[in-house]
Amino acid sequence: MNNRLADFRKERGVTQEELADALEVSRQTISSIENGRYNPSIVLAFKIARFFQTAIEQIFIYDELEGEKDGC
Amino acid sequence: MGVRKLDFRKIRYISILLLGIVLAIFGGFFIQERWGGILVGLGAGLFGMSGAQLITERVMQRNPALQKKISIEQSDERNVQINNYAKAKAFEFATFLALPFFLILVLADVPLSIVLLSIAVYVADYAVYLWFLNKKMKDI
Repeated sequence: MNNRLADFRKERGVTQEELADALEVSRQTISSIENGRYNPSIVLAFKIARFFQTAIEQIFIYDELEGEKDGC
Repeated sequence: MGVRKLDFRKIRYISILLLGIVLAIFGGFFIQERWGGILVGLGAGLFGMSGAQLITERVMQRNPALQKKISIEQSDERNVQINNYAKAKAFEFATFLALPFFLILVLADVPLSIVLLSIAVYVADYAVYLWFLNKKMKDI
């Protein structure tokens, strides 16, 4: 799954550390999501969307071909 | 107000610590016997485990920022997923490792009771896996 988390974060001037603290996850989790190495749970995805006051699909982009590859 | 809330975790660790000391001292009187040695070992283990836990809790209480960081690291969903993945791989590895291990036991002429006991442990481990698999299938 692709995402625009890094763009949203940088636009708002939030560091990975600050975002991680606000969402109560580790900084590595934020970094892994941004690099596309880790797909967050639906709960964390909602928390991220709520933090940026936007809809999930604005941040996370579901690609059907990628989804099939990931088994999603 | 002013009355400190009873910390049951602390009380439990202190109780285990005291039990460890008592077991180690009691075992020390019978150190020549096999069970005396076992008691000393068990007592030292309980003492060390609960002592370390008490020290850790004390350090944590004095440093809430560190406590929060550790709590986040432990409950972080990626860390939990990685941990579960590693456990699953270790279980798979142990499952394959067990078969040549039984073969080695048989070839080494180990008493049949030991071989059967090892197989029983293996079967019990797999039974626990199947039990949890079935339970989770029903739960979710």
